[in-house]
Amino acid sequence: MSSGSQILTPSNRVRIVVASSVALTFISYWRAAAIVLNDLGSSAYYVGGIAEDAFGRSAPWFILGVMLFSFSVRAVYVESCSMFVRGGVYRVVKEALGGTLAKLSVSALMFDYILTGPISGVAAGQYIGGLINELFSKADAHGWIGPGIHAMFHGTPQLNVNAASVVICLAVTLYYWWENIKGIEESSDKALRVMQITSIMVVLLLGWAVITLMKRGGELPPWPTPSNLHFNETSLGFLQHTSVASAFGLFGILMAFGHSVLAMSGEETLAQVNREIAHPKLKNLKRAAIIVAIYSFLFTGVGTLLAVMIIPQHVPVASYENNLLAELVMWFNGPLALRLLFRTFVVVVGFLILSGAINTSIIGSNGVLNRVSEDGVLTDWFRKPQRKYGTSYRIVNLIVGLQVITILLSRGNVNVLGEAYAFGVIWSFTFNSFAMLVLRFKYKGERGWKVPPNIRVFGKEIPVGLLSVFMVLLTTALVNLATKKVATISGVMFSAAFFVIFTVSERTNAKKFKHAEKEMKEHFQLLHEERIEREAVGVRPDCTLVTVRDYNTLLQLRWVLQNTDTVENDVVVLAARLTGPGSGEVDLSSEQIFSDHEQTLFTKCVSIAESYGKHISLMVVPARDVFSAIVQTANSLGSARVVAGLSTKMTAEEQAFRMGQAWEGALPPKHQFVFQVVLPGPEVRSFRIGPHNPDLKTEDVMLVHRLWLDARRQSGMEELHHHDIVTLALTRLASDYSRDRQSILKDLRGTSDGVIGKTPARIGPSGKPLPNPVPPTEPRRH
Amino acid sequence: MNALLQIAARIFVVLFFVGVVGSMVVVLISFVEDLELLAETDDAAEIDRTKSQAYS
Repeated sequence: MSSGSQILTPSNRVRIVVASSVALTFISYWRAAAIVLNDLGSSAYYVGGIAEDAFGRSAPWFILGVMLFSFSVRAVYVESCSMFVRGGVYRVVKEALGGTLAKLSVSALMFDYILTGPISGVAAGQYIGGLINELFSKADAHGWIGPGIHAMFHGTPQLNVNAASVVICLAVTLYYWWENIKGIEESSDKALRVMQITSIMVVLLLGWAVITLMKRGGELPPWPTPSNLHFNETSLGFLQHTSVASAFGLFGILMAFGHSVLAMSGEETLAQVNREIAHPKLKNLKRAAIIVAIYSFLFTGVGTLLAVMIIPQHVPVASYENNLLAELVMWFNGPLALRLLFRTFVVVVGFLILSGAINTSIIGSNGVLNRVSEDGVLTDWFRKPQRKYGTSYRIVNLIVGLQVITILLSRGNVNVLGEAYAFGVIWSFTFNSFAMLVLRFKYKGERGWKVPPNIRVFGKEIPVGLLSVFMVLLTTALVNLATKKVATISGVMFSAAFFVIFTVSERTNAKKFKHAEKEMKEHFQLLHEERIEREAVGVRPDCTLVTVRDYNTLLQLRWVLQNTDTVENDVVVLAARLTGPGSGEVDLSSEQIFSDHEQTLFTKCVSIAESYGKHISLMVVPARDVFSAIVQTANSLGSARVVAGLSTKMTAEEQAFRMGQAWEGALPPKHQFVFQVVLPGPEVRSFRIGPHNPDLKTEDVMLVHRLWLDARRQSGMEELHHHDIVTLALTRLASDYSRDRQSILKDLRGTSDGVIGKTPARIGPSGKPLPNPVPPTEPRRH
Repeated sequence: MNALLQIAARIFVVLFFVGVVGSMVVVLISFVEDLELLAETDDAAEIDRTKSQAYS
């Protein structure tokens, strides 16, 4: 057992067990696909308009081509994830090409993430503004708008869509900023629900479009040949006054491909969700990836193709470029009211998926910056936890600040944002594929899967498939540098700024870490453990687990030490280090998990333990969900009770409910424990977590007894026991519940105090929970 | 400058189209492989493995 009460000398330092495995809750491949599609699918709303505006009506073929090509980019990501479970661009590039290029690739990725928010929000605003204006126009055509309003607006009332888009985008971004400051949880449930609604919309949209085409006929867009490409001045970029522009030939196809490449933005989210995918991981990753690829091919690719086929050629692109799917709906066959209703549905779904993408962009950027920060590339200043919510608020502020500036600079113009957005998308893919290619020659070990085909020439394996994907990405990225002026200027400036910040921070950190490492080595001894095991921590069964986070509020530790005889009952202090979503990309070393914050926190814990003259063990685990981490640790250590302070966000009952949920979600073997929340006073609220014998009220016990007495008098009832009465009552209740759930719930609401499944534990005079009268795991006796 | 751009453009075009052909092979192979995986259930795969072990 480790001690916290000794004098701290280098030979007698406090041992801290640092678990390196993040406490994760694993998700199915459907949920993983839903998370990726929330990002990837959102581009269907704006990419068609942007591409058509850039080079004409043959845009859908290129978008289809990009969506087909995205199948091969997906293959590169699957290979990288099969090599590194935490296989994002930073880790892969660092491994293959070193720190400098890794920082550069992350800078490009940051540009991609930062712009995902504004482009999604502005696109959502364009759809909402477009719908409102359409409704005004139709209402006016029916004479439903009075002359007073007419006079006020000098005609039909119309919103300034660009200004409205900016306002809507800012409102949604600020909403998610606050949610992220509070510590929003990335919910695969929400993502799945949004994708279910989106799927209904996609089926209806594609189905109705096909019916319209069958009834009315339609023309395929012009074939993707050089003669059908009509680049405007903006889409020629730096090539505007060169001979390449006038005689581009096949090069034009390459340029058009580059203008359509943002259709596959969001693919990188695959690497983020990989670590959370359930077993068998590689198979499920591939399943998620193929679902994502097929879905986005149909939604983005086929959807855009049908739109161009149905919207008549005489309608100017400028009138619908930011409202492509909405405009498509208005040209469907059917009554106007139904079309308007469906358009509203399309806009609502668009708002859900696009605003979800804003959140994904904040969470993703936060994750990436946290990862590089944990790797020593950003100073600890950025990671300082928010006082109340414990989130990395400075990083969130930085991201949202940059997004707000971008939104204001764009003035609601989706095309400008789309132009810039492609830079980050293509360069992060290019870096990733190049790194994977280098690793084929550099790293000869086993891989879970390889991008096919691979041919052997003179005993050497040539990665033909990987090389092909890289060639397409590299040439597209280089051509985009020349044709996308806005993207090149803003992207290079942004990436350079981030690169400088990373480089300077890394140097500052290197000096600071040397000093901190020396200091830490004098006080603490870090024991790196992959898994949490009782033997490693050196505690006996039925220990008390105390969770700590803020070194200013350690009332729970004081209370436990006051009421526990540590000679008989071990006390383990647990700090769960919250890692952002996507932090799976980088394996955290002990020193990274045990940062300045944990050092200060544990120093305070040790001094409290010393003041009571009692022993404590210290432990730190990285976690995505604090409650899951606590439950997993309690299970691994065989803790009899878990003690926590009162949360700033939840009541004690809510904390217990969340703990119960985490317990239900934990994998077996698991055992019950008592959860105690120490409130100021100190007042202690206790809850039993997991199935347990209920504390029956005296009148309930009496009722069981009376029923037993009465039934026992009947002949043939000599063998009847009290538990038979309870069994029959429960069986009948279960039967009634399955028949008339609502009525039973109504009755239960009348008798319950609202906290279902958790009843106060019986606490002994020492503050220790009393044992259950019958162990919950004991088999029933008949 | 224009001549240089022309040469670069030609090189890019060759690299791009060769890459596109190769990528389409990647798409074909991996698509078929992954579709089979999508249709297969883990239990079935497990049973198959057990069977093949039993017969070998």
